[in-house]
Amino acid sequence: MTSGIEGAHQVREYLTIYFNGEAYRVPKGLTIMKALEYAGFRFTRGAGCRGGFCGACPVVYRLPGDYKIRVGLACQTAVVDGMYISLVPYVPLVEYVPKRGELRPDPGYVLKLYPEISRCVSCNACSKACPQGLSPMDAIQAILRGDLKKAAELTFDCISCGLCSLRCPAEIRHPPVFRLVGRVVGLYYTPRSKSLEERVREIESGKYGKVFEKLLSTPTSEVRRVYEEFLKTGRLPQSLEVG
Amino acid sequence: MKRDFSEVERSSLALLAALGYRVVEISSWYCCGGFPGATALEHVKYVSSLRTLSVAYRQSRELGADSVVTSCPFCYNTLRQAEQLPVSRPGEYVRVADYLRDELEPYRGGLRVLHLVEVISARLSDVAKLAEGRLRGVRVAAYYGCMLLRPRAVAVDNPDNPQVIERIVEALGAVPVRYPYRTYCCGSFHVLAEPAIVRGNTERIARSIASSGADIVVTPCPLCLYNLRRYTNLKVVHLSELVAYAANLREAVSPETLKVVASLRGET
Amino acid sequence: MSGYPPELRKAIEVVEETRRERLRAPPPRRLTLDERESIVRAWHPDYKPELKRALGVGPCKGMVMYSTIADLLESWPLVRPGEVDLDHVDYDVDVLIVGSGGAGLAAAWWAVEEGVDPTGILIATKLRLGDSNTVKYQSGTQAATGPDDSPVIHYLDTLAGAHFTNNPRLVRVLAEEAPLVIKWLEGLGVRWSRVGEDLERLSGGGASRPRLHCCGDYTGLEVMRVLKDEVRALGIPVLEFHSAIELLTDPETGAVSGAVLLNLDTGEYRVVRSKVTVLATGGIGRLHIAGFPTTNHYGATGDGLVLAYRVGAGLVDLDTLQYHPTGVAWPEAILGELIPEKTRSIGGQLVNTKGQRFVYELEPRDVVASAIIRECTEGRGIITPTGTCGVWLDTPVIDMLKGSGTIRRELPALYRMFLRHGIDITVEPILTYPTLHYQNGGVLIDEWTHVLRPSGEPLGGLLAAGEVTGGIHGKNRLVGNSTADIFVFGRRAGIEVSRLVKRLPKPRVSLKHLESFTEELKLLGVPESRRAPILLPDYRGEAVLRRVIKL
Repeated sequence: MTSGIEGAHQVREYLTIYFNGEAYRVPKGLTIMKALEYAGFRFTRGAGCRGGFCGACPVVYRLPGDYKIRVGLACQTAVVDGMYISLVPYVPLVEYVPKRGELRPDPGYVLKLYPEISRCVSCNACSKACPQGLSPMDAIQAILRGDLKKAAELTFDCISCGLCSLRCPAEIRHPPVFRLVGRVVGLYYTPRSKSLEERVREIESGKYGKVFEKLLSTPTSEVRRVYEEFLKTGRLPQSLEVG
Repeated sequence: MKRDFSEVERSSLALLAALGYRVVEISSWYCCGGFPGATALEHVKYVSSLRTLSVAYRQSRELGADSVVTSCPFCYNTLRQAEQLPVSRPGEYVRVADYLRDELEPYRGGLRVLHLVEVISARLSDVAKLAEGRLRGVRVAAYYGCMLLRPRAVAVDNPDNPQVIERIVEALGAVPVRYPYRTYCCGSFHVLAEPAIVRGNTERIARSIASSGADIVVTPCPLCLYNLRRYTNLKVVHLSELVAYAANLREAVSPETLKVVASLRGET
Repeated sequence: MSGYPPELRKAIEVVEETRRERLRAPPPRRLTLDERESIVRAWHPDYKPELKRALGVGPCKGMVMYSTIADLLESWPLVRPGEVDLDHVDYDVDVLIVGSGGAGLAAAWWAVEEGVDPTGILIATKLRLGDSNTVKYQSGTQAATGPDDSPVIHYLDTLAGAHFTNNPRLVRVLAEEAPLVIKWLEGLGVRWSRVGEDLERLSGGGASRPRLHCCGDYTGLEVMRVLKDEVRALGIPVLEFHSAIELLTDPETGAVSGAVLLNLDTGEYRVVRSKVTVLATGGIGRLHIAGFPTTNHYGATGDGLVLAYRVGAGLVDLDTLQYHPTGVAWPEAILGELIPEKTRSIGGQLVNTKGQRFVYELEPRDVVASAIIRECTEGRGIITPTGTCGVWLDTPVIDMLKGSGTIRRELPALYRMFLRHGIDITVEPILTYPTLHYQNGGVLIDEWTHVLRPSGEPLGGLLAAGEVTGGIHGKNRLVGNSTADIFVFGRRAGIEVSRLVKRLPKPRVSLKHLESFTEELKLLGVPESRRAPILLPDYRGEAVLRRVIKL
């Protein structure tokens, strides 16, 4: 069980990366995660969906000839020759998780739980640290202005990796703040679907029960015929109409 | 202001529209850092203001705009200082602009930063026309606070003896009353950590105003407004609301202010 | 700037040279049903007898399935009777939920909603809370919520999509209750995409009405954000990095009575005794069956199948898997990730190394996947610098056909994903190859998620929900039905838990079920080095593995 790097596939070019100060020779073209695995590491922490959605694998690195510390996701960032790598699998942020009934549609409520957001100096270090290319700074500023909807919209794609919080001079806990704002907006600023409500009412009143019972006792060949007919006409036979 | 003083925004925008200005909100703007926490490191404070100006400048080129206007004296103060930075303190400017290097073209100049007071005072005859003497006879004490007058380089008027708000009051047909503590600090953001300072300062201001015989106090600053309302019994309104009321833009004025002003005019 | 290395840049020239001509020429002919069948039989992995074999042990002995899965099921347990101290119970709970994806968290939430004391629940999860395939899902959840739609039509679409191989009773539950879970999640604050005030409903392959409910491009992320928050707010205990390595059974009745967990950080085991255990362990993508890359998360190693089978569960439909025809073949960074079907439905063309289209792009998924495999196997594919193979999915033609800006408007997530690696898909084509996506079959369950023996009789004490189960999707699953499945049956598992814990006594724990099972393994001559569950894939390079000393 390999990821398809060796075995059936040949490796043509190698490069050197530095992890925790040690040099490793790895094939070119791999992500940081796969390169470290190739080098012999097995992850339990610091690997998750491996597709850039879960935020389990934040990484900080430096490129040769450059002094800047860069950030990314280990599963999404390709290795570069001479790269220095350090993993950040966990950012221990203190989080408040209020019960649904305790959430309040009020920017003051967010500020009360996370007062440090008022210390935002708009330095934008957070945005430079975001592997999703979001602007946490703009979102924090939106909260300060009272615009929770805007903040929720700006952070919808946040994967809670926590790199922004590590960089923030105001010590803002962005991921939990954004999750809280998302919950508040989802609960209080999002319309409820009327058609969905109607369908749920129908189902709970047992409207479809009889038709399903009937279908379940119909032979497969007959169900197949009914479906073919349905595809042609766009209508179900009268016997299956829901009354 | 967006969150806690939306009436100031509403009345300011209504007033500017009535005076024929087209006002567009800066596409993304940042807390100026005029509040505590940010002020300890001065250059950090200017980073956000310079970023706001950089965004505003870019947007102004698309819109054909030439000025940035705010009705918050803190924002005015910080933005105005930041605006002057390239000329007033070129070394500091380079240091601040360097923070923006990776993000956007740093602002170099080309915009005027104005406080609402300056816009209104430049259009006194038009304001008088809109006001139609609605506040005739009302005795108004102007309370300036600090941020429009200090430091001297960004003062909207003579910091030792400002007259700009009194002139606006006159244009509204009201009677300005002058008193010694017009520019005495209310205690500002110390309301958060050291409220005793604010209590002492506002009491001093209140005594000074009481002896002047004013019917009402007008201030251009939301924080001054908050502190004076919280610690004194004065009838205080924000300047933008008073002018909007006088200009008959009542839908833009908060019910609270409507009540205060109406009581002065004997309305019910 | 191009994210492609010179050799691939060179290969792209052919695509560019032939593009104008391809635009003028008619599309490849649609295949007849017979032709479809023959290409699928010739090239689709489901029809490769050499990839399958009959299972040699356990209650489903003789059942034909993918050999990789059979190997997994014919593995020695990680612990033997007597190796763990079962007299010392570390967690004595009402309910143990194994797995914290959509199904596990739905079960936990509904159990509490129906009256189970949250502190009597334990969620054990191999990685972090919520690390699962659910968090990755983008394309949406099928539910007949529209006025022009009905659960009956959803039911028929689902049966037909699987060629009537599914269990109709389970499909009925799926179709009838999918709108309920959409409503439930809406009520929790999940921000389903909307058109005005109403839900947005998108079309999906095999669904005769638009009924996919998404949250932008990050549906799973949003749903899991909300569910994780809810579970934490309810105060349900969670053990992260604790993998279930063996179920426990009552020595007399054989009913499931808990599990042995392994702390992945320290290597210690923990004994859990529970009245009810819910298996919500997900699928098997990380087994890389037939050498395919996968869209699945790191922990998708089929643990639940192994655990359930050893205590006597029946299995179904493990002879088929879903391969999504268009996975990413380059860059390596996103190998195996999904390229949505929409890319083809709005005009993207599949092109081989000679610049020729070789299949009508909107044939059924299995047909398109087979055609791509054929091109690569017969040498008309493009070899990447890491040695994998793929064909071109020519995306620039989309903008040429439908007008500039179409790609960025219709496929923003895909556009961004490639741009991260320096590839602008409005200018350059994509390399694609099928990717292992979904385990169609699995553990046999009834409508209330009781795990069944092959005879149809419930095992007792064990429920299962989500990808680990079989029967709902038959031998082929429709888009958006997997997430309907996890929420509908996760919810049912939670409700059923609340009924069971009230009436079940505290059970006794043992590993007795392993006695006969290991006896069979011995008889079959399975090497003792083959052990399961494997918990996590091993991606170490061969150079390292050759010299590793196991301590």
